[in-house]
Amino acid sequence: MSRRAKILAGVAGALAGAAAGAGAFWALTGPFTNPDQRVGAWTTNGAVGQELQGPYSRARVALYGIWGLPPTETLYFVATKDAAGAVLDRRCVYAVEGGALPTRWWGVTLYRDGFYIANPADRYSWTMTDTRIGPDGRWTLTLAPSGEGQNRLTFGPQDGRFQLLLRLYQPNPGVAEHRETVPVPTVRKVAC
Amino acid sequence: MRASLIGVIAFAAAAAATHAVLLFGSPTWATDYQIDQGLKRGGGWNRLIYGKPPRAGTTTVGLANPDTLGTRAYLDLSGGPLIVEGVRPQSCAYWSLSVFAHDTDTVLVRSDRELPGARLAVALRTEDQAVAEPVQASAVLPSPKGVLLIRCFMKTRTDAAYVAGLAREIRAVTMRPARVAAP
Repeated sequence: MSRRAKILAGVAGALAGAAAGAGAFWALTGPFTNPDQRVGAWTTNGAVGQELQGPYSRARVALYGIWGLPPTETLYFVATKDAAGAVLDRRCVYAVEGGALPTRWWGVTLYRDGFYIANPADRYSWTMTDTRIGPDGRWTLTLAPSGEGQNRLTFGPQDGRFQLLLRLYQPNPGVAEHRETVPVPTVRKVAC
Repeated sequence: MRASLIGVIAFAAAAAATHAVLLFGSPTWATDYQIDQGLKRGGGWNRLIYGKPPRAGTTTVGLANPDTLGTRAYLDLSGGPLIVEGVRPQSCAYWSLSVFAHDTDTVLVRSDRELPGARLAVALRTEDQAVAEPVQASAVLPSPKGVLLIRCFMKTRTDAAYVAGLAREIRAVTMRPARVAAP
């Protein structure tokens, strides 16, 4: 075996290994990584922002939602699919239907690839202080390809990975430890 | 040693090293990237940057909260500790002050529930620094670099008078070097 062949084998192995190491990192921290808990159509990660969080959780939060707060202060729920399990599609209309949430403050934001979706009204979210809520405490947000109006969020004309993020700031005592009990909104496809 | 064995060893070593470097390095790199972007947008070290209502295309922070009228500071405490002080805004739907270490871990969170009075005094220091003045809370960073975020949630984004008033209120919180104990 020539010295040259051994060097080539080492270099090829190192390059392939570096690619595999990076790929494994992406697979374990990327946006398609399985979260630690599912609640309805939503997923949630209970280890955000804490010293005790593991290195994978820390890296994931740093890359996709830096400076998130720990669950004692904030709970984050993400939905990328509707109640039937279909990925959110910008050509469709959805109803996000919810009620009272066990928290001091809540808000629902729609993102494309993790960022705000430009629209003429600069409307990216609805919160408990500006959402129209019925006398029974129920509320419905409409996700639609375009348009403006109360309780309405728009996908816009560009494709991408759409995410709904529900934030609960200062959840009621005990809720952070039992996130499965949060009555998260349903995300129902209305038309396509 | 056979070439195939050399290749396998090189593969395993490079895979483990790359994975570890990305895993443990990415949080600090992410912080450095955000600080770099903030400095390019006119920010500076150790001074408060008062934000405007967020709009599409104006932030590099993924999954940022659009209902926040935020205040931010990029911290380098190598020159000494700092004090955040002033009159806490009273018109936010929610208010909190949080400090993040270079690796993004949360070092301190204090909301308007924990700091109910109007006056605010919070120290930002490292473990080997001491502050010689009374404060309500101290954020002790494991290294000199970090980030301060003050979140003030708007009750509405569409009431211009309310948002303008809130923008004045958040400017009543300021930051300065802390008085330190004599050695």
